[in-house]
Amino acid sequence: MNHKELISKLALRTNLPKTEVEALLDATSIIVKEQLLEGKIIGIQSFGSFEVRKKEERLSVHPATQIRTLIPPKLVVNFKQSNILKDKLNEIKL
Amino acid sequence: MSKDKISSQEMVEQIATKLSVSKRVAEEFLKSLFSEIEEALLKGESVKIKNLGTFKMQWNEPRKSVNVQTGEVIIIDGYNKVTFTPDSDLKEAINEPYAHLESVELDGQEVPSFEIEKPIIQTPETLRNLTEQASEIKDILSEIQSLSAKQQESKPIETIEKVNETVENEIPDYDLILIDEEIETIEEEEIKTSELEIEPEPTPEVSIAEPEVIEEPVVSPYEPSYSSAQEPEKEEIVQSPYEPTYYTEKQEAPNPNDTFSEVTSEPFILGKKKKRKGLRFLVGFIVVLLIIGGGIYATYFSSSCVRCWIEYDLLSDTNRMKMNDYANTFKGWFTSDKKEVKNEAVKSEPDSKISLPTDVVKTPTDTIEIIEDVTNTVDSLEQLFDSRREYDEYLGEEEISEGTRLTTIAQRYYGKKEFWVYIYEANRDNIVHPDRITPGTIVKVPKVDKRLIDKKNPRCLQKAKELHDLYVGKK
Repeated sequence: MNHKELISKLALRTNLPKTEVEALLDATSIIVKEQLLEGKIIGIQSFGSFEVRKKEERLSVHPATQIRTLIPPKLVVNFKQSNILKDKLNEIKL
Repeated sequence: MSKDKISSQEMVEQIATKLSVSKRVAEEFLKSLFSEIEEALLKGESVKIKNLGTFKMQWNEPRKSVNVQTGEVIIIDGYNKVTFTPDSDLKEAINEPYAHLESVELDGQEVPSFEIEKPIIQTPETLRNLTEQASEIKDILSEIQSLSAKQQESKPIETIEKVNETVENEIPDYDLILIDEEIETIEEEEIKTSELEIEPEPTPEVSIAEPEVIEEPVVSPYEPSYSSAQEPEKEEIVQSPYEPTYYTEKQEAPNPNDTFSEVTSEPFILGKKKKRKGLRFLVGFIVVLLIIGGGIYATYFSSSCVRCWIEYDLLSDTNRMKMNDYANTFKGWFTSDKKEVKNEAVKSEPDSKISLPTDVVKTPTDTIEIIEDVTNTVDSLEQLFDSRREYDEYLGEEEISEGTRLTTIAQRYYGKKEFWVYIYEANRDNIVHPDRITPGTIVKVPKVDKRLIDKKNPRCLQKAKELHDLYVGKK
């Protein structure tokens, strides 16, 4: 499901015009980004949480060429699903 | 920054203030947004949101683990997991503080195995080229021989020239030299005399070269020399792949050499007088052709400058002395190669010293031939690699149980895990993919030619590695 499909579905669900839904969605993603940049954890009830984590620098060795590379530290967005969502997913599959 | 975590309630507030809509609308929107995503995920779909990222469901396979305290093996059940891959925009924005950092290659400390591999990779390439040349030379040589037999001595020059033009590199020039040696043997004698003066090489490598050279003049077509290089190897399978060939040639060496040089040196003078006029003309013309051919070759293969240089030098008669140096470097490669691979090379050296005193003074060294013969000996291993391997004899059978791998079997039977590929080759009917063997499968461990599984020979390891890539990357 891509951006457009999501918007149209949300529009149906919330009875809002598509343009407004799009504005809301954009605002959401912008806020998520802002909050993450401030180093905050965003927790969404019964869905999961977004968090920025730091990956430490490390030394990697290319297995074939044996070239050793120093990989610098970096910040990544991490999503952790909530237990409620996890259980739901597993119920479906099993 | 007072609070580290913000809840969905705070999200709702922020959205509401940002777009100046009521909190109720924002809340409803947010709820429906995530429940929509959830539904899509439950259907197995992925959800992509612009400027944010993609949500996807991923199935984590059940896996074995060990209880750290008790050492018990526990099985972790497979489960579904929602993964979120941030959009590149978001990723970059988040990583802003570290964006300026780049991964650095640490080439200061190279692993020794890497260094060892390099020269080995290089040599086969040059050798392959030389074998190609050798086969070309063979063809043209036979052609020229048939022509020269029919025609008078002055005419072959024209035909040779034609051949030279058609092939358009200096390879024909080698043939010309060879023809000279065979038909007239004047040029050869000149070389010989020149080398007599400037060749006080006491190195053991020389003796390797000389026996090879001797074979050439004695045997006019190339085929016999090929077979002679191969046969000793087959006989002495027990020994290493490299060693026997050198060894046997050395043993053969002194006899043909002595007889040849003694016999030829006298008739040379007679033959010289008889054919002097025509031959001189021919030799002069050939020298010119050699230089032209070298030029063409140089332009043709300008990419590999070093090789051109070597061969250009080989061509010009005046630079013939230099050939010895190049020959030594070439031989150096192989001998150093040998030393790495086999300690037996050390053993062979005393032998070569014995043959030295007789050889060094008399024999004509022609590097072109040296190179060719070296390719023959080394290439016999290459031929072994390329030839179809058939497995009739087996060392034993192994039943694959949980945790058994072909590599461990190979380690036990062959002493090196890399050679598992040969076990796989012998059991292709039973094994679909080397990484997925069903427990209970009975695997036959084949008897493989010892030269193929020589764990001290880096070429064998290289070959096994190639096969590994072939089989593992296949499916």
